[in-house]
Amino acid sequence: MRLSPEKEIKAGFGLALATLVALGVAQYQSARHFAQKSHWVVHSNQVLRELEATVNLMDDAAAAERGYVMTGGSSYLKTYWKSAREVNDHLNQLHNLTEDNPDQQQWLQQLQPLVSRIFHIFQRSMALRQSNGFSSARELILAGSAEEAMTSIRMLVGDMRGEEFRLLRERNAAAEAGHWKTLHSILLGTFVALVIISAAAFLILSDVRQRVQAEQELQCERDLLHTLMDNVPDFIYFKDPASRFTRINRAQAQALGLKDPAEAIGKTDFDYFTLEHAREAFEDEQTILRTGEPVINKIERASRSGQPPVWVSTTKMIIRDVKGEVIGTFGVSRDMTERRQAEEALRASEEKFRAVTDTANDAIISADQSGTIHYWNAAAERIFGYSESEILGKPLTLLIPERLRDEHEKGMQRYLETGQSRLLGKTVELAGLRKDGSEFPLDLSLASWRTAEGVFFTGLIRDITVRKQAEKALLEAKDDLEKRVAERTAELAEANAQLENELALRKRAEEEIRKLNECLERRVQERTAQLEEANKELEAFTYTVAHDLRAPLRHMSGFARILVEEYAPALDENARHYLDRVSEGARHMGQLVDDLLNLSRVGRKELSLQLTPLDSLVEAALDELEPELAGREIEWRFSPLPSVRCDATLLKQVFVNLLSNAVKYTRTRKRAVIEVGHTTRDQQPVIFVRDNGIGFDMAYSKKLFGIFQRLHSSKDFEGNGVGLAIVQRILQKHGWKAWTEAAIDQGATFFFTVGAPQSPGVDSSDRSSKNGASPRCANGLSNESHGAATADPAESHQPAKNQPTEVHYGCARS
Amino acid sequence: MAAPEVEILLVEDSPEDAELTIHTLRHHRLSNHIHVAEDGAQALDFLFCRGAYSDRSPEHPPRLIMLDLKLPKVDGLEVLQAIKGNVWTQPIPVIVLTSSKEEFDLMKCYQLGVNSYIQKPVDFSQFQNVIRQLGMYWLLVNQPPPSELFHHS
Repeated sequence: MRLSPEKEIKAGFGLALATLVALGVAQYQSARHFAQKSHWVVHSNQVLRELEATVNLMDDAAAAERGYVMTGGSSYLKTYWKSAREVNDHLNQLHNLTEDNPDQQQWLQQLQPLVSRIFHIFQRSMALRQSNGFSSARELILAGSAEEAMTSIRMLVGDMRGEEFRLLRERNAAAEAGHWKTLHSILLGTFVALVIISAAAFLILSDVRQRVQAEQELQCERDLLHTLMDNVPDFIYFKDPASRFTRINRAQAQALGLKDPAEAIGKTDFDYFTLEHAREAFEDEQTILRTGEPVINKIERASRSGQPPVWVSTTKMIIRDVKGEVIGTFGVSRDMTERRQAEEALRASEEKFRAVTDTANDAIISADQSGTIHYWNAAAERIFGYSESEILGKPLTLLIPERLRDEHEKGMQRYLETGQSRLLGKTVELAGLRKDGSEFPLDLSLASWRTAEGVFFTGLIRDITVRKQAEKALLEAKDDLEKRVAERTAELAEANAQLENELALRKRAEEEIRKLNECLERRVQERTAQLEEANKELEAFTYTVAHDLRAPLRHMSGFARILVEEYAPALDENARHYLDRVSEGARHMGQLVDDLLNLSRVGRKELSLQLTPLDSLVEAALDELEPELAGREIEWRFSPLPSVRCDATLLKQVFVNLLSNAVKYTRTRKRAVIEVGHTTRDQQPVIFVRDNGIGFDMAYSKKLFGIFQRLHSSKDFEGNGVGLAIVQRILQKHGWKAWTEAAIDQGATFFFTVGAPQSPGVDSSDRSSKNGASPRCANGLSNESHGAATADPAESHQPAKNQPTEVHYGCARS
Repeated sequence: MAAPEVEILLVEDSPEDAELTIHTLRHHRLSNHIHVAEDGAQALDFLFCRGAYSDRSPEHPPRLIMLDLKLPKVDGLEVLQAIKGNVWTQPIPVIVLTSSKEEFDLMKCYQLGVNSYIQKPVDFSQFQNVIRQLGMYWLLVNQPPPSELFHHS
């Protein structure tokens, strides 16, 4: 059994105290004993001193007696009496001191008569000296009786001293022994006291430590409790047996609208809640106090007056103090309002769902991800013919026509794997299968949701048989209506058109009257346009022909070349010659085709008009002709030319071709003279190029500008007869005109206007018809089509020597 | 039929031109594997492995296409557009070999991404020269497109 720390400490201290008291007592006793012993030592020493003093005084008295006897000096007498008085004092003192020792008393009683006798002898001797003188006194002394007594005294005193020394030795030893005993007891006592006090201190310290630890643990638990109380969202409250709050937590304080939980102390539920709730709570607590039975998770409506009701789940129980005395109740309430609201909302929602689905006209069917039907409403039964009990737990595929099942399975699989669906969130038209096996059209709206058990689908299905029929009927009606509308519209349109026609006719008549004079011009323009069109077509045709001619030419030259190169040894001279002719023919024709293409390209090129100094064009043309000028002596005569709005590239070509011609046909002259200048004709600026070459017969001047037309043998002068055709075409595009003046061997002059064009492109002249008129020409205009390059003057223009030949591109009519 | 890989697809409606071209290429030992398509439709069937050529593999395209512009059925520009507009055939070098010198054709061909535009010279020796140079350049000098370009997964 272990004593309580407090008792241990008390016992320890008691023991230490008792030890100290005992120690004190022992020391006191020991000290007193020691003092007594010491006293006796002192006493013995005093006795010894008295004995010695007595003997010394006796000697002093004897000396004084002798002195007196011998001298008779009165000072000896005085000393004698003093010593005799003091001897008596010491003897009295000795008597007092040795009262405790009978031996010493006995010796003292023997001593006193001896002393008295000596003093009597001395006094007699001195009296004799005084009365009888020295000799009588001397005799007395010589009798020696005094000496005898003195010796006895000395012996006696010696005995007494011996006794006293013995006593002193005894007493010293006793005192010594007492001293050691005391010292030992003090040391022992101190040691014991130290041990006890150390033990007590140890006990106290360990007790203090335990207490501190216990306090810390307690503090820790208190902190935990505070934290819990302050932070737990549940309401915690302690009440006394009268159901008054003794403590509440922060959550409860907040719920009660209190800033400080302490404010609630001493209050009751009646101070905060409705009477109904307060009473119920009070009765519950009293029952708990009476029976000791707790209330567990009781759902209560803990309403505060004027506040929305709060639903709580409450647990209450009795609390007791350490002694087991009931000190009140403890309660925890959890706010269940939100959960309860959620539950109620869920219930309401479920009820609503039931109400809606049960009365819905559409089938509502839910299935899980395996396609098993979980929900089936009344409409579904009506539409599909299966009762709820028949269909629940059955696969959805029962409701799907055979032909759609595969697609259904795939769609389901795809959705489960990828989360993608063609049906979800939409309304689609599908077909359903009734219990009786008949198929019907339906609208399906599909939704899905996920739960812990997997994915669920709910479909809203509407039988649209009737709608389909209605739609069909509607469509037919619509078609019919549209047809009728169209008929009506057509009638109206016709009427409108008639009206418009009439209006137009009237307008046209008016316009015809008003624009009678302009009409001809307009028609001319129309015709011009047609002619232009025809021209273009012809050019395209020319291009195509030229283009297509290239290929066979290449084939000819190609195969001829292969023959020459690879079969040369097998061919004789003649064969090789003919093959060369074939190649040469092909090459020549290629050149012709290229020229033709150039001509065609000029015809088709869009004009890009710019104000251009013609001088610069002449200069550029000369640069281009440089190779042809080698080895020639030519006198150039240039006069300044005006700037003209023209297509510079094309007009340069004009100069190139004209100058090239001039250079070519002056080849036979030793000294060629070529002049470029300008003049005016009919107030129009005219450019000319003149040479002193071989000239030509003006009878053929008409042919000069025709394509492939040559007035000289190609043996004498190379060329294809395309150069001037190109010149003509370029000028034509600018709306200008060209002509020549020449005579055989007299040189030739080429003129062309660069004036403001007269309706460019309008061309009704013989030349244009030769080059551009197409059979599509209407309105009675010249409609000749004479092949590609034959000049046929439609004009009654008589070619004459030195008479200008007009190449006219204006809009003048023949 | 495991025909050897076609090196040149020659789209040419003129059998003479085709013959001269093939002659030149063989003469200079530039290519033996030349396939002639006589019109645009045939050329496209060949390239896209359809119709009569459905057993061809698009992973072995010709190394070079020589394309005439004037073709029956589907003309050269359309063929070019189809070739350059398709990811399979787009990397194959296409040379337009035509008699046309028309600016429109030239412009259109380059807009469609032609690799080369050659006007057929009229003169046969020039023609031979051009064909030889073309064969040398495109079959020997030029680095062909890497074959990964034709392996589309």
